[in-house]
Amino acid sequence: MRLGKEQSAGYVEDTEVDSIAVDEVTAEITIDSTERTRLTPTAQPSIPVG
Amino acid sequence: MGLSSWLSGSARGEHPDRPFTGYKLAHAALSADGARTGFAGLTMGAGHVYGVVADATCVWNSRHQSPRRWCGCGFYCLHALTDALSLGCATENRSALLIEVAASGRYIRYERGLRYSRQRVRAIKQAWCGCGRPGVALADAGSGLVGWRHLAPACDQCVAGRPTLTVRDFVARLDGRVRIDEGPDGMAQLPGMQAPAAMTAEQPFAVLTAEIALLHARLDNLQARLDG
Repeated sequence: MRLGKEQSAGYVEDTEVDSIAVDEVTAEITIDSTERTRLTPTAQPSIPVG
Repeated sequence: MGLSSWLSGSARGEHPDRPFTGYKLAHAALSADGARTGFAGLTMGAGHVYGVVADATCVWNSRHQSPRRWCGCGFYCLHALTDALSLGCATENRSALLIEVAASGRYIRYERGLRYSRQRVRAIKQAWCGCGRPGVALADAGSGLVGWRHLAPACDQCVAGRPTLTVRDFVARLDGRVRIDEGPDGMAQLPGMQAPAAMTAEQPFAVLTAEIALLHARLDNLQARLDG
């Protein structure tokens, strides 16, 4: 490819970055979820105590 | 600018605040397993396939950074779209895609274009079938590199019966985002030429078919009289 006569030289940053479309970003946020912290299905202990 | 100043070119040369927009030709390429796509150069870079973002390396001497003044290495692009269109007229370039790139990194600027170290493909602007119609798909070009098949644009009529990849599927398998610059009717027509009107193209064929059918009927009638 013939580009003609040289004129100058330099450096330029690649300032273009791949953007992410909003609809591609998904997130699930759970606030104050007691279901995730409960270890037994009921509030009672599963093994009789005493 | 002497050699010493070029060695420190990034400190002494120009410092534009954003990449250059350039235009160039490239062959579309499909990996052997069909999972990935990329672009292959036409001349010096013909032996390599690059992705959406790529850094140039010298194919002759890996010890110097690309582009080097006394070497021909680096990516190339043209400033003007019309120059890239002209390049696409050459016989050996007919099956290439016309793409828009953002040129950055170290560069040497010439009258008509740039030689540079970092390239980002922004858009596919033109893809023409060998028959002159806009390309709607990419078909095996019959050439390639180890691990890669070259693809050539093909129109909806020339792709009939051939395995193809749509331009959108080609873009979806690239390693980054690339725009397809097409209008409501797809890729642009060749400059100075018009799309054929569907009726005028098909009408003579339809008339000929009717004439042949009529001729067959008369022959059958004649044969029936002779037999009778």
